[in-house]
Amino acid sequence: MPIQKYRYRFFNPPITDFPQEVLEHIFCHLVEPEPSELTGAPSWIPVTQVCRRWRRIGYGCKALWTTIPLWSRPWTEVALAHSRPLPISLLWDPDDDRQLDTDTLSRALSELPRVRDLTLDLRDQESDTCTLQNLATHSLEASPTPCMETLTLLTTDEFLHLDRLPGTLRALNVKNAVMPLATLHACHALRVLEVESSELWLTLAEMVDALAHLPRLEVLHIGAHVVPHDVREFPAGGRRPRIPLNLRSLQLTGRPSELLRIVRSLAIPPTCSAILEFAVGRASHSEAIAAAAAVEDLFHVDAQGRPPFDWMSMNQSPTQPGVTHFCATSNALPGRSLLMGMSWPLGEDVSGFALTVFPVFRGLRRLTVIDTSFMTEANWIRLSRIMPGLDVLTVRGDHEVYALLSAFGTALHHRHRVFPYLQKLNMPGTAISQPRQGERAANLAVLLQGVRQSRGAVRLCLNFEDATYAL
Amino acid sequence: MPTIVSVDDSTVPGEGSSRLLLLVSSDNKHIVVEEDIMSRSRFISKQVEGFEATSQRHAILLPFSSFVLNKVIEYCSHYRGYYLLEDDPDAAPPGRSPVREWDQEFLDVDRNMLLRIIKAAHYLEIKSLVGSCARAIADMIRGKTTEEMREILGVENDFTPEEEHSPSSKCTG
Repeated sequence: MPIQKYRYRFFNPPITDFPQEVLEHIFCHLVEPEPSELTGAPSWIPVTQVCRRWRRIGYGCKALWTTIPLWSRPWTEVALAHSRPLPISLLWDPDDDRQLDTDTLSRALSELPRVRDLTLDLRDQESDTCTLQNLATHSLEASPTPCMETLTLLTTDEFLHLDRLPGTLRALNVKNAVMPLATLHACHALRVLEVESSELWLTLAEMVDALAHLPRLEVLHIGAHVVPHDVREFPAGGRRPRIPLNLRSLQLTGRPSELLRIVRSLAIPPTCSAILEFAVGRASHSEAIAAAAAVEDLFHVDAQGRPPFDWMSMNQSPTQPGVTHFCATSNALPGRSLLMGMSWPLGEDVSGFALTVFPVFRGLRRLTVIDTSFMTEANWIRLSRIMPGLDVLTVRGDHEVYALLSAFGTALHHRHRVFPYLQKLNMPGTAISQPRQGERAANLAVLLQGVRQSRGAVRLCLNFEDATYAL
Repeated sequence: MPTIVSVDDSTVPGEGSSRLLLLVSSDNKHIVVEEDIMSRSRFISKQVEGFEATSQRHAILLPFSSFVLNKVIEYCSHYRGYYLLEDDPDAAPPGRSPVREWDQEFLDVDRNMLLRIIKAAHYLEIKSLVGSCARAIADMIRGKTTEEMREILGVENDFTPEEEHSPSSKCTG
C-alpha cells in the first residue's frame, strides 16, 4: 500500500533524506562572524566535506556565499566566484586584532557593482589604515554601485572625505568621515542615517535642509564631540522646521547648550522618540553645571507642579570605563518618550560635582540601576540624599550576578537609613543570566536570608526568566 | 500528496467556536485538535480550505508517529494566537534572531526526535518550528570536525578518496 510505503520511508535514518531547503536552513545557522580557529575557513565549510549530497547543497546554497567576510584573499576569491552573479554583502568587522590587507580589499571592491551591503570597520588596523580608507573611498567614487543599500564605514581618519554616495542607499553609518551636504541629497531612499564624528560639520540649518531631502528617513543619529558654534535657533514666532514625519528615532550627541538649541528649534513629530546625549564626560566642572541648569530650564516646565523627571535609569558606559550614563523620561512632555542621557564620572573624587548636578533629579520616584558594579556604598548613600522621594528601585545587572547581589544586599542593608520611603524593591530577572542550578539556589538562599534580616515591609520580586518568586 | 480519508461527523465534533480537526498519525493514533491551534501549519490550513470547498469533513493522515505529532501540537498550542514573524508568508525573511527560551527547552530532546520534529515541521510547513529545529541541529554540529558531524548525525561518507581531498574541499586556503 503506497501510504504504508511512504510511512516506512519516513522512519528511515532521518537526516539522509532531509529536504534540501531544510539542510540549507541548518547550514545557514552555522555562519559565524569569525572564521574557524582551526582552519581559518568559514565555520560552515566542514559541512561541505561530510558527503556528496551535503557538498552539492553547500556549494549551491547562495545564502552561504553571498555574505563575504574579507578574511583572506583565497577565501574572498572563492566566495566571489560562488556567489556570482547575485548581490553580495562585503564585511570587515573584526573583533580581534585581525588585519585587512589591501590586496583582499581591492579584489573585493572590484565587485562593487553587485555589492548590496558594505561594512568596513577600519578603526583598529595597525598599518595601512590610510591606504585602506583611500581605497574604499576612491572605489566608491569610481565604481557604479547600482544595488548598494547599506554602507557602514568606520574609520579613525578625521579627514576622510566621502564626496559621492550611492542614490540607492537605505542605511548609512559613518564614523569620522566628512560628507558635503549635496552627497546626502542624492540619497532619497535613505531610512537610517547614523553619523559620528569628532566634529559635526553640519549647522542646524544645514541639517534641516538635508532632512528635507530625505523624506523616508526613520532613524537619525548624529554624534559629535564638538558642535560648531554657528548652530542657531530659528526666529521666534516663525514656523519651526519639521523633521521627516517618518522619523521614529532621533538621537543627538554633543555639547549640551547646542543640543538644547537644536531641540528647541525643531518640531519633532509626536511619534518620534528622541535621545539627547549630553557629552559632558570629559567636560569641565562649570560646563557640566551649566548643562544641568540648561536641562532644568528645558524640562522644569510643568503646570501640575510635578517634578521634571519621573523615571531615571543609570548604567555604566560599556565603552568608557568609569563613565555613567543617565537616562530620564521627562514629565514635561507627556505622551512622548523624550530621553536625556548624560555621561560623567561618578566616583569618590567627583562627589561634590555629582551633588551639584543631581538636584535636577530631586523629585525622582522611580530609579533603575543597571549593571551595578559601580554602586558603592557611598554612592547609594549619595543617591538617597538626592532622591528622598524614591519609592521604586529596580536593580538590573546583565551578567555579573555577584555584583548584583552585592548591590542588592547593600540596598537592603541601608534601606532604613537610605530609602526611608521605599515601598517596593524590584529585581527583575534579566539580571541573572542563566546561573547554574546550584549557584542559583545558593544565591537565593543568601537573598532570602538578607530579606529576613531586613525586617521591613519590602516587596521583593525575583524573576529568573523561567520562574518568579515573590515574597 | 496528503492522504485524506472521509470521516463521519460523529467522529469529529465540529460546531464549537474553534472547529476540531482529526489528525491520524502513522501509528494509527487519532488525535483531535482545534483547528485554531494548527492554523500555524500552512499545510493544515490548505487542507482545511480544501474541506470547505468540498463541504466534506475529513481526517488528515500524517506520515509521522503520534509521539512526533503530539510534540508538534504542543508547539502549536504554546504559540496559539501569537504572531511569529517566521510564519508570516508576507513578511520578509527574518535575520538571525535570538532563540526563544521556550523553544530551547521544548527542543531539548534526543537527536532522533529532533530530526523527526524538523521533518514533520517541514512537512506541515511550520516555518518557525523548522527554524528553531534547524538552529538546534546547527548547535549540535557547530565547531565539530567533519568526522564528528558524520557521527553525530549518522551520515555516511560516500566520497571517493580523490573527492574527499579535492582542491575544492580546501577552498578557503
